[in-house]
Amino acid sequence: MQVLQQDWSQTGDLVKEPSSEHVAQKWTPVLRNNMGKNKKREHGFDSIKTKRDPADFSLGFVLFFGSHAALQQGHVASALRQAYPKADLLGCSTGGQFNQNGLADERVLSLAVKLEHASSRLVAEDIEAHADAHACGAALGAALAAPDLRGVLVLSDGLRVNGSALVAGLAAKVGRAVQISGGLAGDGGAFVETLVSANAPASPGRIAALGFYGAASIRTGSAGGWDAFGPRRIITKSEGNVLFTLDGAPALDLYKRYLGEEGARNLPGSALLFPLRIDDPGVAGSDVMRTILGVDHEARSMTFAGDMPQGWRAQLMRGTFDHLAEGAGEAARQARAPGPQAGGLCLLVSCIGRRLLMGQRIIDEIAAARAEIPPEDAFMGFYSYGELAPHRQSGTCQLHNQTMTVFSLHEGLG
Amino acid sequence: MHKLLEKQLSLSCTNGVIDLARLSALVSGAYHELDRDRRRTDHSIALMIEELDRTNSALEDLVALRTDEVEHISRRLQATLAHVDQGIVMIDADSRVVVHNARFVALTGLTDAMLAGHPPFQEIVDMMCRTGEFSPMGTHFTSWIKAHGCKAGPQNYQRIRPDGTILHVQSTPLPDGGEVQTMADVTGLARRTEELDLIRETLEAILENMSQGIIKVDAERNIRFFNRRAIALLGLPEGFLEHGQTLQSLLEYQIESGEFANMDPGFVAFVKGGGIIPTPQVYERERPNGTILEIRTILLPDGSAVRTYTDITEQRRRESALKRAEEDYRGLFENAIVGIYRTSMDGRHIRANPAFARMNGYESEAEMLAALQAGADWYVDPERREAFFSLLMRDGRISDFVSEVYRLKTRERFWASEASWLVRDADGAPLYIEGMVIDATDRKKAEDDIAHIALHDLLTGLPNRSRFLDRLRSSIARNEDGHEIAVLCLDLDHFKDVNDTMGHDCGDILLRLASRRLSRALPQGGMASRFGGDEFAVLLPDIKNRDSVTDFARLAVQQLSKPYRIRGKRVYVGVSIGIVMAPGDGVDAHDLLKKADIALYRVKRDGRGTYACFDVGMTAAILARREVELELRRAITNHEFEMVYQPIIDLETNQPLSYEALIRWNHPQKGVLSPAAFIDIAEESGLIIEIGEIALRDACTTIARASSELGISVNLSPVQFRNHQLALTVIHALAQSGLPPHRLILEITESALLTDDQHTLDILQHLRMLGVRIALDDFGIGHSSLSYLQKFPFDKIKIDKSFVKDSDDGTMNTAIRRAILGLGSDLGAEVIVEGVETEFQRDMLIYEGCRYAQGYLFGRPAARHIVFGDTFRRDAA
Repeated sequence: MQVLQQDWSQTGDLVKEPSSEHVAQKWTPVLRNNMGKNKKREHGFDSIKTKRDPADFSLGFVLFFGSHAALQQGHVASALRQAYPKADLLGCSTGGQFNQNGLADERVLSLAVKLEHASSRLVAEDIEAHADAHACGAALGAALAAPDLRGVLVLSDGLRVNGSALVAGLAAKVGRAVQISGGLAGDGGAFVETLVSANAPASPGRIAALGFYGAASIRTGSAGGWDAFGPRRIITKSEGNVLFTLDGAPALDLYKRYLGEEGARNLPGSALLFPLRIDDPGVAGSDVMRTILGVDHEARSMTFAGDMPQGWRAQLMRGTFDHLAEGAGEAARQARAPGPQAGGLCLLVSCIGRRLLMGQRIIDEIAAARAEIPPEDAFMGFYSYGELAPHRQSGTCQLHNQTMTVFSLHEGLG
Repeated sequence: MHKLLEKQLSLSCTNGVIDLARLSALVSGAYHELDRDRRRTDHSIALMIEELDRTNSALEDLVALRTDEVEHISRRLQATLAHVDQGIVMIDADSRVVVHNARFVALTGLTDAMLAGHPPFQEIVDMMCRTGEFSPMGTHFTSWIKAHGCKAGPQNYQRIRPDGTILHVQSTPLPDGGEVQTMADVTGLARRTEELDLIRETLEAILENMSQGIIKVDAERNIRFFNRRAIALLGLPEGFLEHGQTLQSLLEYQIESGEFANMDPGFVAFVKGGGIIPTPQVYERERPNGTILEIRTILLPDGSAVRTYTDITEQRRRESALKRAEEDYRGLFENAIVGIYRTSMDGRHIRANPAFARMNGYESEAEMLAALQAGADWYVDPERREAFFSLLMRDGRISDFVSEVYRLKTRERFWASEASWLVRDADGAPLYIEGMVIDATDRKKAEDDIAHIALHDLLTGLPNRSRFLDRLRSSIARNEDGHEIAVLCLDLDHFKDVNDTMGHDCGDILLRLASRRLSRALPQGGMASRFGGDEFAVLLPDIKNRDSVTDFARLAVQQLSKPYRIRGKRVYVGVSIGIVMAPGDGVDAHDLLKKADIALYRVKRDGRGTYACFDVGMTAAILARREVELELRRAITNHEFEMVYQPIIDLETNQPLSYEALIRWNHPQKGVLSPAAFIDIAEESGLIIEIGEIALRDACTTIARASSELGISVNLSPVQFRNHQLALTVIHALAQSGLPPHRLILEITESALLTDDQHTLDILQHLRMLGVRIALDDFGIGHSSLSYLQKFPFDKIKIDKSFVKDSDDGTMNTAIRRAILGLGSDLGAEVIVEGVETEFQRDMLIYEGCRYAQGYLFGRPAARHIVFGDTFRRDAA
């Protein structure tokens, strides 16, 4: 595998050469100079000549993450297409992105990957074209399914899609042996619109899936680090991912009490500070975290990123900086490949709620995760409205919230 | 430095230049974030505490509520346990008693104290063992319960308490490791079950052993019950009927197997339709095998039906037999030839059959009864009536009570034989007399006739021997004053001649005439009787003097010797009389007769035609001779004489020329007797004539059958010779046997020729003229043998055996023999030498020119089947 990390400005200009910290083996980053030919001078940015020939990336793909505005403008996507004409381009809007150097909210971060032994395939669906997220996921799964499919990386619209249903449909088609991972796109905490781009201009309501075949070794990790507090309550009324009452009382009232005056005014964003951990009373280890997506003050209901099954138990969680950071580190540890591996890539999908809570201390989380990843692996991540990862106990891919999930890809049969 | 600060510095630094405003903003922001975080945390904690308090109080309320509930349930449970009828004990996983009720205490003989404080159940069990709770169950159970009573596992058993109660004990393990035991008093139940079982068994036994067959069907006409007898009576196969089987299936089987073959179609249709009607039903049916069944069906209120089968074959049979018997008897009664009657003890009520009425001369019963009512006598002799009743009362029955009675209507007398019996009631008192009467007149007459015949000789009408003996005996017995009784035995002389010459019927006439003469000659009080043949006897019971006896004897001789005129011919017989006197000569009737017989014998021997008195001088020898004579007579009748044959050999050919026939007597007691034992007695008594006749006939017949050439020599006695019938006898013998005369040789000895020469010679000539040959036997030892040769031309001469022997006068014998041989040959007579016993003798004779010889050398006399073999073997067998 050959990996190239690049920073782009929103206008599509390559910002700097990747630092030498993470130079992939056997590779000297060279960018073709023809990119500069097409550069639109009116933007007034400097273009840097690269030494690498984009034709080398015929067997490969490029992941890129940026703000809603960056993706909507599409300059970076064009630049990437020019730089890597034959590669699959997959990207989405986020609540912030980072690499080993730290957060880079004003940049667009990209990760170009050339697979030498495995192969990849990119498919995409629109949620509007299907009856529901489950059907959509099934369609993606059907398109990707193959005997040598090892794993799938999913980037989905973050506001219009029931992530649980999506991955259920996808998993039903590709089978339990396939590692499914990924995340829901974000929009910086505005909760207005999220964008996904898959070999096409970025658009809302899109779900893309990248399948890895053959000699690909995929590992995932996920951990939260939230602390439970308060009693377990029963979800007494819910519909899909809309929660109405807990223990017979409106969940919204409970949240308003906990958030206080100031927090109540800042709903739904402030609700991110108190995610719910839900679990099935009869099934041990079925617990997942859920984050609020929206609030309906009239119905006194709250919409979550995933299903809130009636009869499950729900418990409020709170976060402390240290524990959250430890959780990130734990997730990275889980995804770390055992034994010596050739260099691969590590994609981290963290939750917007964590960022909001930790504030500037979010650097602790990134640092904790980074510490667990080997230096030869490329390190990149973004803040999402929902994380997709196999449940630690059940193994089934689920939608998580408020969680750090880590996706590592290496070549070889390991 | 704090990492965050490092970060903030790097973010606010560009080319080594720190943007202070930027840095300040970052740092300040960080502080705000911290404050917010702290406030949030405090708020959360406060809320948590609130939550906790609320949860606690909710929990407390819940606990209180649950506690109340538990107490309420517990009280209900206790009440239930206390009042339930079973004893209950629950033990936990550690085998301690957790729960028990009062009933348990009562049923185990324990106390509340023992069960207080959750004791281990093993202790309870041990206590129960100690109190003897398990003693009625025996040691085996007790040791089991000691070992397993604590944790018995799922168990179900009954045990008897010391007071006799029967408990049903059940133990069930609980999921948590404990156990629940319940015990119920099932004494009543057990007892009721026993009673029911007993009733059921009794009922079954009754039903199975009844003589009736029973089948019960339910309302749906399924067979619910049946007994073995039903199967047997209906002739069903073993195991055919089963519970729950439909009645229809049985009926169909019966129809198919031809059970109703002899019933009319209406009945079959009725059966096909189910065979049961609403009303109780009785009918009879005859089965194909002849059994008659009475079948009763009755419906029960619940719709089921019971059907019984009774075998009434025997009953019907008896009824019809009885009816038939009654008819038979009625027929017999009315139509009997014998009179039958029944009368009450006082003779008032009488029933009689027509025959009885007729016997008494009446046309009908009624008439006779009317007459009888009048009380007429029936028995001629009134004593008979009394005898009748006393016998009847004594024995209860009389048979063949013969009396002279009156024919009631005509007062005619006749003899009746009665058989009667007494009919008694249940207590044994006489009820009435029943009887039968037969007219026995003819029988009486016949009896009288028979009695007469039994005692009288048929031909002459004289008393017979039995009567004579009776009379003699009674005379002797009655002879108190010792007067003499004379017994005379009379024999008609030459009676046989009359029989032979004139025939038996003339002989009978003669006997009758003679007996008449004899009777007329009898003195008063005398009795003449005929013993048989020509033998008579006379009894003179009262003799005053002896002379009267001899006078009578003389008179008898005189009268009986006078000529008789029979069939226009004059016939003469003589009479010989032997006389014996009792008590002088004896007192036994048989003995007296015997002695009279001996006296008679003497008379006959001495010349006949006179009388003689017995005297003791008549010896035993005479008696013996008389015996033999009598035996000879019997021997003739019983064919005890047999001829044996000895060959006479022609020495030239060594073949038999002829056989000599010799007589043997097969005496039943004395064995085989040769002629020497009896010939002289035969000659004396004249029986030789008959015997000789038999011998001659036999010999001729035998040789005629055995051979076509051989001759037969038969010895003749001088007595035979004097018999004028001799020639006739010879002719008869030849004719009967078909033997050619020349084959018959009559051997006579010299003694035959002794007397009456001319007569003898005439006879010889006569015989010779018949063709028969004459031989002179025992030649050489008589007086003047040669002179006989002179007189008559004998065909053969038999030299006596004494001349064969080598005696002292051996030479003499030889000389004489030779002389005779020469003589014979000169005379033309065959000379036969007798008594040849050795080969030497034979050889010598041959040398001497003797041609014919006889003797043991050539063969001993033997029976014809031995001598002549096959021809007579059949006869011998």
